[in-house]
Amino acid sequence: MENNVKNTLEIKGMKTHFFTRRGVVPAVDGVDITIPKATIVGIVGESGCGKSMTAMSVMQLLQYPGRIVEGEILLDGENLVGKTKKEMCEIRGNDISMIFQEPMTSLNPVYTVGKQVTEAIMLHQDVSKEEAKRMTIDIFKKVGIPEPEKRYSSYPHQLSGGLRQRVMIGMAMVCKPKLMIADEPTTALDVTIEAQILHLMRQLRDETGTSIMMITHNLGVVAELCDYVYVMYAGKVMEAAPVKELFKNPSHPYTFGLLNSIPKITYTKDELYTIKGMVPNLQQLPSGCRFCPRCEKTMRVCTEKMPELIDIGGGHLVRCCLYDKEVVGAYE
Amino acid sequence: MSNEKEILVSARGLTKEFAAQASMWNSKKQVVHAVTDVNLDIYKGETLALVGESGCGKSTLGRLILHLIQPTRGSVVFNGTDLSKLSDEELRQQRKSMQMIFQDPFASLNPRWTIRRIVEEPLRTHNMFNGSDEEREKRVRELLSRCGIRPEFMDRYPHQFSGGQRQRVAIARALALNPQLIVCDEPVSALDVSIQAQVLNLLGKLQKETHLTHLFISHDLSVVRYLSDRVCVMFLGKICELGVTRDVYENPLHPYTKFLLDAIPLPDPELRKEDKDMLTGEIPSPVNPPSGCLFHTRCPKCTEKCTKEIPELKRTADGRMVACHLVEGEKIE
Repeated sequence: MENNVKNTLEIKGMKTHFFTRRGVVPAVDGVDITIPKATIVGIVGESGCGKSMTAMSVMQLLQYPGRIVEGEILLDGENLVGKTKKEMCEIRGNDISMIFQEPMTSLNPVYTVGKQVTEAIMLHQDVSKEEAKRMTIDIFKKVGIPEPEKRYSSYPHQLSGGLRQRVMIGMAMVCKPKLMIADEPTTALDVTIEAQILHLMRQLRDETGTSIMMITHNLGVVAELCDYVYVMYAGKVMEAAPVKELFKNPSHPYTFGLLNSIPKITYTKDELYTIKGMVPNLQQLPSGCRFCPRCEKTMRVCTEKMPELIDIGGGHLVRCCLYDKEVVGAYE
Repeated sequence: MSNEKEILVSARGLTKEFAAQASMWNSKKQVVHAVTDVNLDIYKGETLALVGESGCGKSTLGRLILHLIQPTRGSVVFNGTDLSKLSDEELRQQRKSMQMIFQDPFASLNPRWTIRRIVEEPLRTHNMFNGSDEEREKRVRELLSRCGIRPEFMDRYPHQFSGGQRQRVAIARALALNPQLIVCDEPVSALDVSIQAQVLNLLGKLQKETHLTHLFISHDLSVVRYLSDRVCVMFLGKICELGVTRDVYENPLHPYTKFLLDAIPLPDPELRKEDKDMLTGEIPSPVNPPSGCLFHTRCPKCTEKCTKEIPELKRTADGRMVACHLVEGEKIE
């Protein structure tokens, strides 16, 4: 962190396409995301909106036939696109680390959890075996694993889901990465355990200054944890705003619909607001705005052109014709 | 609860213990106490929600009530009939009035069958309409369109539908025989938010139209608040608290209920609490449940008594049932 770049991660105009036999699937289609230092940035959206593919693109873990076709991914000012496999191996786990939804499938079932974390340390840092073991036990303590010495030699199946996720977070944090990507880290966990894990992530951010990219479909988790939010739909960012602003003043009809379609525990209503229809097939995207077939406020212009991200003040960006001065002017 | 309401299902002393082996190499027999001594009434036309963390026995209880698994002890009386006393054939007849919707619509629909065949299967099994093909087809069309699937699509296969649509097909199948009780086991947790709202609205609409009784099993407390009339909170196979949803959410009496409600991430950043009270630790093992109150190992208000005596369910002044030594109430026989 010697250089004076303010942002840990800057994604500029990134496009990730999948070249399948049936044609090109634009999973991520021109996304700009900025994650400032020591900030938790949320990326929300429904399945298939490209949020996980954005994360996989940053990690360069895209599987064939997926490829980044355009754009830049700047980690502390250094472009990751075009790095060789070997260079990426140095970066992964050291500068960027990732935790996944299902901790059982992301841990190796035939090695003890201690060994797996030790391996990650020894791969990236020049330390002795004993030192690495000591560091592992330290990080286990830090992420709140009870009896860390004993747990060091446990196998993943001997731990509960919450503990496994703590091991994953420990493994992700042990090399003090600049950025941690968390892909639905609490979706498989119970609410009480989820609250513990979210608390832990915030605590780690405060202590180590690591930036976190939080990918989730749960707006409750976003409200609880994130500082800034990107809302994605069909491969594009539809709205981006500081968390309080987004929840107070959701400006894109899609965000508005999402926020209103979740049942809240504070009150009950007769009927939930619903967004009609479903997520479009990425190979048969509607012309113009991708949300327009499901939007309640569709105008003729919406089917004609894809709006740009428009700044409506206070760091709040919206991709919607309703905020396009030219369009609104023409209607008035 | 007022006694004027008609009871549809009444479970008494319902207990389910599963036999388990300690490990692949250790043949020592162990017992998993999945559901322990549950007394529960479900009233006609209501939605009763079962909530709790994974492993608390809520799905097992749902299956016990339908007699899909045999209880170790206790009985389920459905509409005045004791299900454990029925022969297989009688139970099959009784099953017409009780149906189930499962969590994963990808696993609960046969991928080799068209949705027409899926929805008409219960009608065939129970030989409805005396085997008349026309009437059966009419019924399938009607069911599908009521659940928001266009009947023209009835000859398509499940993979041609999205998750939300498949769940609609599963709902249509559950409704085919005009049941009185539907057990919904996490019916929306596999769906996206916008689709979840559509399915929840559908379930609500159908209940209004047909006066169905729902037993709604969920771990999502916000969904439960929206949908249920009464809520039953379970912990490690036992009921901790049972009452009218609104009362329970506004003023939880059992410490566990309180923690559970506090843990929900609220979709409002203004209400964010940096230092909220959090439940520490994990659920104890159902193989060796703790002595006394099952929750005492995680409870901050734990007293000497809690570690030794098992708390009975007590009825409180507002008609709720709570199993906690620290809550005042009268004993229930």
